[in-house]
Amino acid sequence: MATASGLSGKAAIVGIGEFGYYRGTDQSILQMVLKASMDAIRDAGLKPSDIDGIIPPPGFVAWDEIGAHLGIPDIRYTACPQMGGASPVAGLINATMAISAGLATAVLVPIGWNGFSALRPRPDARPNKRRFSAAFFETVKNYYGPYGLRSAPWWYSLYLQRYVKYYGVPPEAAGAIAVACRKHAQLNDKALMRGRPLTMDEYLATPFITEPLRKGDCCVETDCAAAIVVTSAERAKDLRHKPVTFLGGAEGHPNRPDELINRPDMLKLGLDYAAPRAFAMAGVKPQDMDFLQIYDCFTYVALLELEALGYAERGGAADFVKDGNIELGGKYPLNTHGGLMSQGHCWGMNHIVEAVRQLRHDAGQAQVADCEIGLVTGYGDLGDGTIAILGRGA
Amino acid sequence: MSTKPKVQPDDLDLAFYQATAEARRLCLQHCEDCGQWTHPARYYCPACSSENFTFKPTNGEAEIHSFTVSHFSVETAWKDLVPYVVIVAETQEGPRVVARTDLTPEEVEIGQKIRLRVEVIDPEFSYVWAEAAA
Repeated sequence: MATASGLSGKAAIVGIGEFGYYRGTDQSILQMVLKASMDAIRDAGLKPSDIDGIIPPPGFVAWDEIGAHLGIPDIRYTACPQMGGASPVAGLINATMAISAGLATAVLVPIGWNGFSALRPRPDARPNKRRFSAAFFETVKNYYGPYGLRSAPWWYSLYLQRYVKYYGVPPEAAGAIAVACRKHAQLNDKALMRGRPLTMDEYLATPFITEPLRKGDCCVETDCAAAIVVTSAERAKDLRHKPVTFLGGAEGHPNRPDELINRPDMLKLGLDYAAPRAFAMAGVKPQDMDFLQIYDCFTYVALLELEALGYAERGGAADFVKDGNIELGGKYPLNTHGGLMSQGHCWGMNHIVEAVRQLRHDAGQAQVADCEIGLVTGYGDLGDGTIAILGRGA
Repeated sequence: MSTKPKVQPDDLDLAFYQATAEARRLCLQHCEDCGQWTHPARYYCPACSSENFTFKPTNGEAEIHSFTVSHFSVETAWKDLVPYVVIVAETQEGPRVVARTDLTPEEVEIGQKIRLRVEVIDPEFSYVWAEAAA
């Protein structure tokens, strides 16, 4: 086995919190984020005054109001990775770096939004003023929006259709992601799609939104929040739970990050750059993973991520995801909580929370027996990628 | 005639649209030092870091690099047009642009030769249209 390096082993996740998952809530984004944050702090056995770093989400709520509402008296460190759904894992990496450098001792990384209610406000709801911004909005407004390409499914379809047509990726490969997520959601009290199982035939019968994306390829709009608390590996040993140690991580971005179609290789994601760096830092191989929590905003994006991670050649993920290989009981259980597809869309922070539950051996019916190591990916905006490899114990 | 979408480009995106409307042809950024074509336009040439560029008319020849067929829209301008095809066109000069088309879902395939023209909506916005190459 190769040697671990860099930030490997420098910090651990010691607290998790979740608020959700709902389609419709009377809670504001700030309230949801604060509840998840306080739960994460308490789960760690800490008090707000023990927290000295905050890495806020890339929008909606800011570090100063979070700190003030929670009553954190001495904020020593803040930073805000702005890469959409790749941000939570980037926040974890950033927290590990800050702790390793001695800039902070315990860092809160929260996120949350009203992904359902913002689009369908209740009749009596006050106007939602909370927004987030991203640089790529300029590209979208100037070059995609005018062409009937309104939001993420339409933008991503521009590269996903080439993936499908050029490499002959069958819809059943994407369906295997949807079916696995839905199957795992049946075991999770907190999953939006619990009680609504999905077969491959039902998936294939869902209508196209914009090709190659069917309705069954899209994740669920959700109101929710989630948070983690990160501290040094040393201090983690004395806290309430079995520590979940950061073994390796990296971010990566497409060339070019602010637009989709003029990249030399339109299908090369940020994760293609990040994954080898993370495995090198952890000193492990993709084949060592006991589970995979893969950012699944859309099934086909998850397939490309599996290829970027090295589980298949470009266009070859169909073989990897078939025959239950990515379901509980298979070799690489994927999104054991249901993922964005079937638990809810919490920007992938729910994937980190689930990885922690698994490695604490506290994942209930979805527990991957005796798991020791697993990975979490993030995907955001126009293809930003992040990955963290996590291990059980200090 | 298409209606004007809500678009207010600025910086080099505005320069791109202005040049295209004036020439009534798709104009792309062209590096005066190394000859590299770039889209969207950048203040530094991605090939040689030069700041010397013009927006030059392209010859209109392109091929389909990717596309989508949209079967659903909530937008007034588009919902009556479903299923509509949107093309990622790779110009002969190199850069790729998004284009509208009257080609049907049955008619489009990756690698197909197409011809690009522009529909000038106003001095600051034009649509790129793709049609089958003659």
